[in-house]
Amino acid sequence: MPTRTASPGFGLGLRTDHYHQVLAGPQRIDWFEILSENYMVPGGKPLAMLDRIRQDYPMVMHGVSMSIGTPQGPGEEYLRDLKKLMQRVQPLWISDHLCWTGVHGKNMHDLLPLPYTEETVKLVAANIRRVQDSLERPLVLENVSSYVSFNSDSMPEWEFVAAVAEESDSLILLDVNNIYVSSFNHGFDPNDYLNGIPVQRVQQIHLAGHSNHGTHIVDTHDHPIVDPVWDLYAAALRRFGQVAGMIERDDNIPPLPDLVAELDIARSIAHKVQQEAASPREAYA
Amino acid sequence: MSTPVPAAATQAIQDKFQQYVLGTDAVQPAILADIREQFGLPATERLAIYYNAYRIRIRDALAEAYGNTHGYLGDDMFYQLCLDYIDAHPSQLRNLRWYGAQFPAFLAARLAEHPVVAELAAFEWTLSLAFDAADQPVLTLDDLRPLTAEQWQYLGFDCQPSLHFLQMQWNTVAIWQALNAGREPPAAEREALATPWLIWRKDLQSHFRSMAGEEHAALQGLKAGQSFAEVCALAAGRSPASAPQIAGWLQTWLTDEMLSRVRLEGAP
Repeated sequence: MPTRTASPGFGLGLRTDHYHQVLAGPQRIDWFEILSENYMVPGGKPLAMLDRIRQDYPMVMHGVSMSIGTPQGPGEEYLRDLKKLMQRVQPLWISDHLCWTGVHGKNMHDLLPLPYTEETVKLVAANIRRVQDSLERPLVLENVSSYVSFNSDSMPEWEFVAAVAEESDSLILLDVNNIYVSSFNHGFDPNDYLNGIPVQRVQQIHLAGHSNHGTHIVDTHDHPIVDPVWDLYAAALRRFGQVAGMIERDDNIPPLPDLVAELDIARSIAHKVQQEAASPREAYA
Repeated sequence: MSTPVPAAATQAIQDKFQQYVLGTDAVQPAILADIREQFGLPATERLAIYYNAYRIRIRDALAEAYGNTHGYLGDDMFYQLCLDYIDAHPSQLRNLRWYGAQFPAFLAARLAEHPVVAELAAFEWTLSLAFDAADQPVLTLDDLRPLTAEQWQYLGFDCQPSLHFLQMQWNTVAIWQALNAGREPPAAEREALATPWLIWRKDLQSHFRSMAGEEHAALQGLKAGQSFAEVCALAAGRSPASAPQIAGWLQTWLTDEMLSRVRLEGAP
């Protein structure tokens, strides 16, 4: 089992809208998660800002186009570019998504769902092992939101996530918003999901907002986090311990202080859970 | 690289799923037979979330890369052109950053009666190319002071990778500037002669300016690998009056951070 990196605390996704403020002075943010592809460019301002902000904050690299779940697997060229960025950033860890993004050289630029079958577990695990050998470090993979299930599915999603992690000896980025979204869309109990995930493999937790359309929920990352997702976050911390958490906001991006305030909610929940653990309720009154 | 793991069933689902998302199989999608019917939302509508997300995500990336072209055309026309471009150009890129590369050529063909639109898009794309072009050292006047008179005979320059030339036939830059400032753009006007424009990066921002023909020829010559002496001789041959100006142009190119290093090929 790969050793988990100690939690650096509470992070935010680094977004261009906030560069100026992040550089203007210290923020109540422990670390930043960068979208790897945004910095896989030749040079200029994106990389200059990255280097300057990296001087003040630890970073985690989070990719969206590794496409770990196809028979072809991630291309050598992509891994070479990723390694180059990794050498520049010296991230705490590197993550991507447990999904596929395209086949036959095409890219749908979306986190597409995988069938939850033994065949897919073996396929994805083989790809992860190859990437881990290439990067010479464990890969951290995130559960995605989904809107469809396949007739061929032979296990629930949490069993699939756990089986892939065990078989490939990789780590998990648990997105509790994605668990909530998928539990709504597919009608399962999100607590069953949490209970199916191996405790020692969770490296990070993602928090985000979504759009509820009544009949289904779409994972849009353009709203504040809702209470049921905060509740699920607390449940996740009770099971997995004080895992590094961060807020992903990709659209309708508010001013930085609003996100820092949202991050304070995560801090206070984590603090409460920690206090609960330190002084368990009396079993007998 | 192929994996030794058998994956025929996964592969078959992914092939059908992708055909559906790309729209080559949208009427009677073969993937539908693989999708479980669940409460709340029919399988067709569940699949449609992916179909729509593909188009909206790429459309939004095009709208970001071509913000002023979008403003010039308005939502309806711009979004329709995006959808047609998306259908004509399935993405083969890992990174959405580069997806719009063929959009100006696409607009030139689709809006042939309004060539100013393609020129506006080409201008925006070139600004973005300058913005994140590769970093190179910036050559300064001080770097030239130690050169001997003999070395000046062989002296050439590497230009910054961000340096691009564009020939504009229309008042495209005036239109871009108005749109960028949130003002009503002027009417499109074709100029009698195409104007050369220079686009490059300075202090991490994209810059642009028009150039007189002789300065354009001189800088293009340098970029193409001519020595400074050759560039001077060619300029004098074309227009004796322009030759004395070249030293001034060189100084401007240096202070505007357009050059990256000296080359002394063939120098003893």
